[in-house]
Amino acid sequence: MKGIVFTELLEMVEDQYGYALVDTILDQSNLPSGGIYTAIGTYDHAEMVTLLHSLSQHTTTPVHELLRAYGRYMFGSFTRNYYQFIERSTSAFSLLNSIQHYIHVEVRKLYPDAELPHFAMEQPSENHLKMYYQSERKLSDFAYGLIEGCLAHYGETATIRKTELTADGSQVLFDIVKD
Amino acid sequence: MPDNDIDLIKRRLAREKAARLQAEAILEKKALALYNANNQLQHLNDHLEQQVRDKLGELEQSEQRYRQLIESVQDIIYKISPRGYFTFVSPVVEKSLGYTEAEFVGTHFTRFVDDDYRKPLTDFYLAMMTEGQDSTYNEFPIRSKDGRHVWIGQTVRPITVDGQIVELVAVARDVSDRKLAEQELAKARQVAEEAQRAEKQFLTNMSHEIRTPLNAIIGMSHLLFDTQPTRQQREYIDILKTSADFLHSLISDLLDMTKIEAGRIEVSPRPFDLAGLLRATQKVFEIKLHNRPVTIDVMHDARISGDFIGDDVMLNQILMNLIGNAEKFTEEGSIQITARIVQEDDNRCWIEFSVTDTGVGIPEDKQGLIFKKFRQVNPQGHKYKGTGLGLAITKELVEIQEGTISVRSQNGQGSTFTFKLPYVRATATTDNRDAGNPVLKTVGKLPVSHVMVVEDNLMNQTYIGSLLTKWKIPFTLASDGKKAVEEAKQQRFDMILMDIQMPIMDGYEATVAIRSTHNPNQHIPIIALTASAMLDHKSLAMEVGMNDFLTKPFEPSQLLNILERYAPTAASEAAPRKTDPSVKPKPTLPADDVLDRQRLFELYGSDKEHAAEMFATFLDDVVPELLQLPDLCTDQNWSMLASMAHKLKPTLGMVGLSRLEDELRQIERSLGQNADKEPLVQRCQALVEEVTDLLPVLRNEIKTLSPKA
Repeated sequence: MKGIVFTELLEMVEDQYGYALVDTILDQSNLPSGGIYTAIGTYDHAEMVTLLHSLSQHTTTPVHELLRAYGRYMFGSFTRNYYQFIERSTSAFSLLNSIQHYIHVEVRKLYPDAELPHFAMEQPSENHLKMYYQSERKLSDFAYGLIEGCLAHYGETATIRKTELTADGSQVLFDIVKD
Repeated sequence: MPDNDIDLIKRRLAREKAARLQAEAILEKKALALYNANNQLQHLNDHLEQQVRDKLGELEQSEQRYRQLIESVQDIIYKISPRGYFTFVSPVVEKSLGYTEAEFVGTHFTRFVDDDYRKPLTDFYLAMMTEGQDSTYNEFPIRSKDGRHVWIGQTVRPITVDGQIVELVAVARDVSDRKLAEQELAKARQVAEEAQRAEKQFLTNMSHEIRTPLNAIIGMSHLLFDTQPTRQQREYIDILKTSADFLHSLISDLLDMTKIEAGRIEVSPRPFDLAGLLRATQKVFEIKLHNRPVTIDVMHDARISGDFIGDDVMLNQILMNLIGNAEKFTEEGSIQITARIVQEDDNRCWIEFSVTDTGVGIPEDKQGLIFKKFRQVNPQGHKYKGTGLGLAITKELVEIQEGTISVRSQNGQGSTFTFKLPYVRATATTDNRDAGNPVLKTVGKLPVSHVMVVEDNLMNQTYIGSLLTKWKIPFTLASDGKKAVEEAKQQRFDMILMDIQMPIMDGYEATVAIRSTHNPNQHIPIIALTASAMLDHKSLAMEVGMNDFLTKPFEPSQLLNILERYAPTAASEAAPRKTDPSVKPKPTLPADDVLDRQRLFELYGSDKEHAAEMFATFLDDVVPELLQLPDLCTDQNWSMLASMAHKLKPTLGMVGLSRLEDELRQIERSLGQNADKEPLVQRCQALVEEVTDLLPVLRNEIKTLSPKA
């Protein structure tokens, strides 16, 4: 898993809870990396799971809520660091539609070892978008937060309905209807 | 600051530092990868640049080679604008036309072309520009710098840019040599054609020139036999005649072969009586074989009746050649001619003819040679003379008609020549020949009363004249075609013997004139007397409306045959006659020939009643008086006999007994001459006997003439 996912998570925890909590979860979780993360590095996915669980315990917030909040936070970070990908789109749907065939393609050029989820898109009408999420990382809530962040970025509001298509959460449908 | 906080900051610093080092290490690695990638890119770039340089070099070389090619090609390559100005010309133009490239480029094409060709060439370029034909070839002469005319042959092709023709490109070459050769070839062809015409004319003339005197030699030798020659003279005349005959056949064969080889023989089909032709052929050879122990028989399939459409002239020639051959090699025995239908369907009727002799035969190993030109395989060598062309000609004639010919022979046992030819059965009404089917007559008194002989050659006039006089046939001479046409308007003839090559108007023209104008002879038989044995002449004779032909020189028997065949047959047109079965006429006088049918026809036409009346009167009144004639002789009452003969004479003619009428006329004449009266008694007796014998014939005639009860 790309280092940016770790560094941004820790950034968000520091922002909301202070560096002390960051220090605590890094110290308490017996991490193979020793809790040393850099955005351009690559680290074991299991460390992320460990960190989220530890954070959930300390903040008494469920993991899925933490992930959704992190998604929203991350989109903000993307708009600053990867503005060139985002400015091409003029609406949330347009951006969401470009993930699979444009953004992920470009990301792979920068980080050939990046592990990215697969999105299948369906747009029954102008204001209606169906996103089929598929990933062995099962981080659909992170995606949920990112979608919310995206809508917020373009100043749009929509009703998002999340349906788990498999029990393990590896396949999820986001049914998005603009208000 | 509490210690806790200081520791926290220390830990954070340591983490940040570790992370920085980690990031630096990663970045270092990335930078190196980037550096390597850059190097590789540079390398690729260099390579690409080299490739571009190489390609450019190749292109330059190619362009140079292309230019050298254009410069070295002997053909002139040029480009011309839509308005007709040269925009490019290959340098070779200077070598072939004398103008430099600079003189050409920018100049209008009409400057190099003579007035006569400006218009057609302008039209040509215009058409290329507007119609956009793919590639077109044309030829025209151009004026070179030194004023010569150079013939240019060029292939022009339009060059298009975005579907628009922007200019024309042409490959042109000097074709003057070929043009010159063509002109010379045309001249040569003309000379050759003239030579061929001259050759054909020469052949025709030679044929005529040789045959005319030959005709006279053969004819005169025939007449010499009639001048009571001594035994030795007869022998000499015989040799003379044989040699002339041989010379004649030699020339005929050579001329025929020349014609066949030149492909000038064509099959001319027309309806003809095939069975009749076979009988006529038999007749000709019967006369020829007279006094020789060789018989000639004709047998044909009963289905061969009526007319067949085919080339009778060729068939006749084939049969003549084969039978002539058989006759030549048969000392004793028979020649058998057969004809049978071997295959018949809706369209064609294949007839197989065979000529079998009992002569010397042909050895097996020689049978393959006999149809070859100039081959003679007879064992006695010089004994049987000939050109060796006869069978080769025969084979050609058969094959021209799509037929086949073969031979079967056993040495010493005779030979059989078999040939098959395709014919078409004529429908009964298609035949409108003037003379109708030739009817063979037994040799006797010919019912030909008047013949016109059209002949310019004095020797031939004498020859034919002598023969006709010998056979007591009156004739009128006309020395050219024009005189013949005039004569034909004056009086009616039974037949015209027409020479072909004559001054003023030839035989063909005269025939056409007689056939196409109204005159008493419009439909009478006209026989061509052709000095040319060439088959195409014979065909032409038939085409212009002649009935038959006789090739000069001919033998008396051949002329006689023709006269018999085309003698007036008016009587045969009368109603079919039945013969009384109780009557047995004398063998020498078959009932059919007793009565002069033509005379009867002239007298009564179709008025049967009148004829019957005359016959009845003759039987009732004239016969009793006739029977008194012998008594008058016995009584020696000559004056009474003379008066009775004079009175009864015409009545014999009235019932068609022309011969007896003649006889009575002679009896009457004898009485007037005070000659010996003794033979008269016998003659009168014979006359009366004949009349008595003929009474049943006369009675039968009345029955035939009377209306049916």
